Amino acid sequence: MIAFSGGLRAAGVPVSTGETIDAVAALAAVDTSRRDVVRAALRAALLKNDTHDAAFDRLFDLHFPAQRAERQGPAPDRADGRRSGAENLRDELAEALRQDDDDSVAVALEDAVERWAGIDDERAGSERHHLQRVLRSLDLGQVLHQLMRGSPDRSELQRRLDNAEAHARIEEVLRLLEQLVRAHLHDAEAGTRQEASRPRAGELQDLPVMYAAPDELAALRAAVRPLARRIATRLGRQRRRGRGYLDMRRTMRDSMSSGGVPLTPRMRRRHPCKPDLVVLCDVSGSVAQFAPFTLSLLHALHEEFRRVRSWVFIDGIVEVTDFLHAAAGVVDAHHLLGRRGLVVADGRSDYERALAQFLRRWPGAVTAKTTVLVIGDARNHDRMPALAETKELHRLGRRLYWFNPEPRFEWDTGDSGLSLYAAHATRVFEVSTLRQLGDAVTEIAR
Amino acid sequence: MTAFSAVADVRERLAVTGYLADESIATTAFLADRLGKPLLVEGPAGVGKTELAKAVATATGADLVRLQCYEGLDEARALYEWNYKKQLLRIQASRDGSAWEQVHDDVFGEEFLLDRPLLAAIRRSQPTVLLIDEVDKADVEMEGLLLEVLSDFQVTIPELGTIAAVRRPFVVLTSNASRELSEALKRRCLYLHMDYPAPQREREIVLARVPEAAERLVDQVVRTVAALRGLDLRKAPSIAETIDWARALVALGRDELDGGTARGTLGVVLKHAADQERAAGALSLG
Repeated sequence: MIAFSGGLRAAGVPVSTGETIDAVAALAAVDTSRRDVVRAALRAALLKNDTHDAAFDRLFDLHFPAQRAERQGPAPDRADGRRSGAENLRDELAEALRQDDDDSVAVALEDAVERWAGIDDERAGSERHHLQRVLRSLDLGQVLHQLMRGSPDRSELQRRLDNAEAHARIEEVLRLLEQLVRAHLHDAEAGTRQEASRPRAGELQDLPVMYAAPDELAALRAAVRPLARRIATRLGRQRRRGRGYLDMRRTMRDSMSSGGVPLTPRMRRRHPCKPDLVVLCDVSGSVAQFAPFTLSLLHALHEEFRRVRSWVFIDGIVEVTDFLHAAAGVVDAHHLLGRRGLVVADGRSDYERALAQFLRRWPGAVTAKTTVLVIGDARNHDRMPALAETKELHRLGRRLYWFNPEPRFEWDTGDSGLSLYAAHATRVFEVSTLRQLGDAVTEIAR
Repeated sequence: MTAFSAVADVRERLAVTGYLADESIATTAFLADRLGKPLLVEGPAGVGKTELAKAVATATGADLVRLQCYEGLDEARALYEWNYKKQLLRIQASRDGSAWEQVHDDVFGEEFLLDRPLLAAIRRSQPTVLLIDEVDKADVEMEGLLLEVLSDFQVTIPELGTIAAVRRPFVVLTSNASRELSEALKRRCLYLHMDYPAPQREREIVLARVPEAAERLVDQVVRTVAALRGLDLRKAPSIAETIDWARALVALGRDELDGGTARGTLGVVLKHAADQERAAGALSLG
């Protein structure tokens, strides 16, 4: 048990002594001859976060190996494989999947990994490399095909349902395969490199969005909505904090009904101020990846503002308020980029032209109650900076904030003229990560 | 003082109340009872977290004390409060010359203490299930407050001293994971992550709750809901919604789910217009 706890700690799962004691007490309380019960008991006592599930499962298999009665040794399998090749295994897998027989699926996948991953080789490649090898030989597309095959006279709904189910199963298989390959690699290397490289929720917040890889982007997208909810909570709390001060007049008036004894103190309500928000977002190549996050976050928070209107610009400028309102979740960058009127000249960002056009075409958008938010890296491709326009926006509006998605050390390098604009902004924020974005949005909504 | 004798016992008795627990749920609930530790249940909305607490209460014949958390929930609402008005009246009534010392001791007596759910649960001598619902909605300060209650089952009131539990309640905390709970809180609890049930289990749940539904219909409903959960929706359908859907279809007198019917009754499971459109498109509902 102690070795198991140690293993979990080494894999980055925080396990306290108290939890180890709980685990032992739990084992004493349950029927230890059943593996799934033991697993559930240990999981309940030791794991406090579902992101650690993978590490737990791997270590559990390592420390409490299952008896695989139904599994033949690898040697006959391999000989068998020579003869009939991948086809047999594919059929086996499809059949097992159709029957929802998890054990057989696991056995088939184990076979596949052992046969094709080539992990016994002297030098182990990357996880992806081995996974690709297995996938190439196994050809899951065929399995999918087999799964989707059904009676021809089923209804359209039935067909779609079957397809959706088949896809879900194949995805599950992929996940399992990935796990298996990782486990095998881990055995081969006896290192914990893979574990360390997995992104965790805490670190995701600090990932620079502009340089995120596609799979990290997907994770970031999923994190935006919870972030919006957290910000809303935070704002609600800040607005409520301190119930205001005592309203003497109302307290005395109310005390009349209780004979002059002030039973219920009355507080003066504070009126939360909700700013009117105008967002001007640069979506040129350099910051296109970041724009959807900010825009979607702000629109998810539209209740915290009196009104949110958004424009995107490169060298032309278009309003995207309605589009963002209608979209669920984080929008795709190419939806924003496909807008007509966004590019009028060479497709490189031109702050001066875009902002001047904004002031001309929507003269009433910025009023004395408006908070203007400009999002961009202030890189002007050696054109004239939009200083006069920024100044004008700041004069018209209540405040002007600037969000820069670049990390701070890149500001004012090359053609970035951020400090020029900073002179006309109420405040400039660095928002290269989701955490910074959340903090900055909280700040401006206050 | 344990309520369950074995894991299988938990399963059976929960099943009697209509709650079908899988192996991990039953084991964890059994351990929470046996080890006398609070049980923290996390998972998406609508997978039966709150229902578990209710089922345990029904199965063990205990009373359910519920503390619904929300942002801004404070000590006065969760733990105890001094009955300020009554205290004032007491002081008013004794204006005529009784000694200050006596009044001062009097107004902080049991008589002026208002129990709130946490204190109430601890002071009860009958079997009790304490449900602290949606802990993640409460402020971080609330968690600090919970620590004393959950680890020692006692509450310290400065004016009165420490009140220890007469009988340990079975504590269930639920969380939608909208915010990370503190390590200190998690360490004191057993943890159970609940997810949407496997199709087989969901089928059994729906059949148990809607016995008049045809098996074929339930099968189709469960499969459709599983497919819907696979789509990237704003809000995936919960178990309760699956059950509602089966009920709705029974009420309409259907014994089979076809595209048209599904589209017409989609509002039972999907509550966002955008989600409905998306689902209709993906499953090509009529």
